[in-house]
Amino acid sequence: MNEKNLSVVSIVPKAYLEPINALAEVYKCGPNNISVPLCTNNNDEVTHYGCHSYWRIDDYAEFSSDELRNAFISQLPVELQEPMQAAVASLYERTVLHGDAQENWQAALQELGLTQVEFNIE
Amino acid sequence: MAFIHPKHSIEPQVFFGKTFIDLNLKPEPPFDIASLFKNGEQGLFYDPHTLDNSLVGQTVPTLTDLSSNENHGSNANSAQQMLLKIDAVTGYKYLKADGADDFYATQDVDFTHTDKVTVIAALRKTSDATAYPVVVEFGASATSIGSFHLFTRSTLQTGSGYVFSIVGASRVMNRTAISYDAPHSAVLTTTGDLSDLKATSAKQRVNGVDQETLPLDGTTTGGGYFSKYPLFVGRRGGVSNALSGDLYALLIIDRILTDAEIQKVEQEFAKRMGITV
Repeated sequence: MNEKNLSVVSIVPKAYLEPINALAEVYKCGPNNISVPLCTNNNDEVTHYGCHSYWRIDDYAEFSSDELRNAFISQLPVELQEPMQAAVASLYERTVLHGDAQENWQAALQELGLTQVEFNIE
Repeated sequence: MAFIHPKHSIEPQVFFGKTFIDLNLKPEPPFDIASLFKNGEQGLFYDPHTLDNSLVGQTVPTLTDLSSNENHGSNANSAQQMLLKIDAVTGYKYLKADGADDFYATQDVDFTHTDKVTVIAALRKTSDATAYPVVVEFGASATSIGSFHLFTRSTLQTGSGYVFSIVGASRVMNRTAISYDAPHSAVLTTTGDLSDLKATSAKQRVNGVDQETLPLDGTTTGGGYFSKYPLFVGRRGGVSNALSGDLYALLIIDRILTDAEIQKVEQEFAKRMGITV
């Protein structure tokens, strides 16, 4: 019951990367949580960022709770509340219990038409 | 009633009326891999099996370096930490890298005194979906002077051979001639020697078998020494080229191990994965 057996892919548009990472840090996920640069197919321009993480079900329920997110947002300075609301609204999350990380990750990228920006060796 | 030696909690096997102990056929103790560093060798040795059982099913923030060099791998970001699992067949613990963003990085490791390196990894690669998935990279770029790199595949080839490169004054990058498509379990042994750079300066063994390699790149001139960089395990510079796979053990040392030493490490690593070398 205590195992991290929930595979979670999180993807956010580039414009909202900073607020979402700030939110994740509030939940003690560490800095720079969403870090994988992503681009739309056949285009090298980074449009989104993503991450894969493992969660305990209870912890993720807390992290994804609208009530708790709204409570957090309401404590922010007024000028930051609207951008944070927009950031949270734009956050894509794909969860699979006992899921394979790579399968979940690839499925998420496919759903959104995104590819990873790879740095080749050449 | 069978005799049980007071020093042993298990019942000795009986062969032709003699016990295992009577015949002085005690199983050979496991090779002490950390002893390879007894003369102050630089490098690291990670063995996830030594992590506490309470961490199974949890993400692991720190990989303790068992070489006494304090080159611990760490990552403060929970999304980027590998998940500790137990191999259902062998009972050994391993770390699952998710192929998206998991990695560990060390402090700067000083290899400036050496032009030689041995890297041995026990690994099951589970996907070939990305380009140049990083097993380990010394330095943040594939062209950094004095760096070395081990990948589970390249994009410069048909198929998915393992790739090893060393970079001195110039770079030698070889891939195995045989393609090993995921999923594939392997004890990967690579040795690099910058002192006399040529195509054979970056050698590879897979599961105890010397590999024919093909050059992916290399001007093979000059020499040089390795440098002082962080070691990245599982992801390039913490940014890209993430590994999708299961890491059972990793050894990096600042010399080319002898054939006998390599065989001992390979055998010890192979046990963890239930494969024979």
